[in-house]
Amino acid sequence: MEVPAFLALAIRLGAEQGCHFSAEELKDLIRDERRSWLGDWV
Amino acid sequence: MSLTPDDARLEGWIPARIHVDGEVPRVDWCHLGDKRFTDPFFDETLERRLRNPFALLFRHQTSLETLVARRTARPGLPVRGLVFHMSRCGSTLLAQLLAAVPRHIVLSEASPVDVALRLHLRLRHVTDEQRIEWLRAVVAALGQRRNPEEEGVFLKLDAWHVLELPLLQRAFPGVPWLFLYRDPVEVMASHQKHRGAHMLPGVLEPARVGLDAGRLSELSIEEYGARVLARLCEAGLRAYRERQGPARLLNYHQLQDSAVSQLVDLFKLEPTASEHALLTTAAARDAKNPVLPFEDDTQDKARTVSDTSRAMAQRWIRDVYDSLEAERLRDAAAPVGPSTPRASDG
Repeated sequence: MEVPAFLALAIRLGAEQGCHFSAEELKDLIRDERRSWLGDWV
Repeated sequence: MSLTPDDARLEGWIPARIHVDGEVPRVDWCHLGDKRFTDPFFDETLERRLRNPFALLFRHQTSLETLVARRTARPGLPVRGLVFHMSRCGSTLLAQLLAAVPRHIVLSEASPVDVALRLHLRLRHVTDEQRIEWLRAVVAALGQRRNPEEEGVFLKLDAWHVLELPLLQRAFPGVPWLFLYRDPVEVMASHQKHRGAHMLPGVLEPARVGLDAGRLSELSIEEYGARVLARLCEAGLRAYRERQGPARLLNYHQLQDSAVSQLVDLFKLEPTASEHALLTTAAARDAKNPVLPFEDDTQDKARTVSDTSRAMAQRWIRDVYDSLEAERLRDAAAPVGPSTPRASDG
C-alpha cells in the first residue's frame, strides 16, 4: 500500500473510532519507526 | 500483547532484528507475507518491505526464548547449503543464482543470523550450545515456507562467519558448504574502492582475527585488511581440510564458466529445464545490480589497485591463497571428486 493511501485510510478509520490525528502526525510516526528499525542493532 | 511460541499471529512474520535491551535480547518481527528474499542482500529485502507503511508501523516483539521455542513447533524448511567467502569474490552471484529458483529461500548475509552468531559478545555465560540453538531458531523462523513451491534454505553468510565454520557445521551437520575466494590483489582492489565493514579496525574482535588489540593503531588500514582476509582464507582452508561432510573450494575465476554446474553438483539442485533457464539468465547478470549484465572486472582491478594494497595482499594473503589453490586443484584432479569428505586429513 502506498503511503498517501495508507494515511487517508488510517485517518478515516481513526476518526470512525473517535481518534483524530493528522497526516503530519502519522508521517512523524513513520519517520520515527523507520529510525527505530534501522537503529535497533547489536 | 503476549505471543506464545506457536502463536498463529506470527505466520508470515520474520525475526528481522535482534537487539539487546539491557541484558535481555529482544526480537522484532516484521511482516513479510509471501515476499521472497530475491534481493542481493537480506537487508535490501527488509528495507524494501519497510517501505510499506503497515510493515513499518506494526511489529511484534518477543523474547529470544519465544523464538527458540517456536522452532520446535515450526522447524522451517531444511537447510540445503552454506556459502562462505572471503568477500568481494562473487558470493553475491552465487546467492542470486540460488535465489533465481523459486524452490529456494536464500538468506544472503541476513543480519539476524549475524546477530545470533555475535550475541555472546554482549551477554555473559553463553555456551556454544546456546549459540547453536539461537542460530537454528533464527534460520528456522526465516526459513518458513511462505510460498507453496519453497522447499529448502540456503545461507550465504557474511565473510567473517567463516571463522565460525566449525560451529555452523555443528548447527547444520552434513549440509554441503563451499568457500569462495579470489586472487587477493583483486579483492584488495575492491575494498580499496569501498571497504567492507570487516576491513575496518574495531568491527571484528581483534583476537578473533589473530591481532593484538593494543597494536591495531600501528597497522595501516591496508595491512589490517590484508591480515583479516588472510585469516578468513586460513579458516576456510582449515575447515576444508578437516571437513566431515560435502564441501568445496571455489575460485572466482571458475564462476563465469561453471558457477551453475558447481552449485548444481555440490548442493544436488536437480533443476528442471525452466529452472535451468532461470539460473542461466541470473548468471548473465551483475549480481549486485541485476539490471546490468555481468562483466568480469579482473583487468580493471589489476589496473586500479594501489601499490600498498598490492604489497599487503602479496605479503599477507598470497601464501594462503596459493594453498587454497593447491588444495582445490589437487581435489579436482582426484578420481573421487572434490566434494567427497575425507575421514582424516591433517
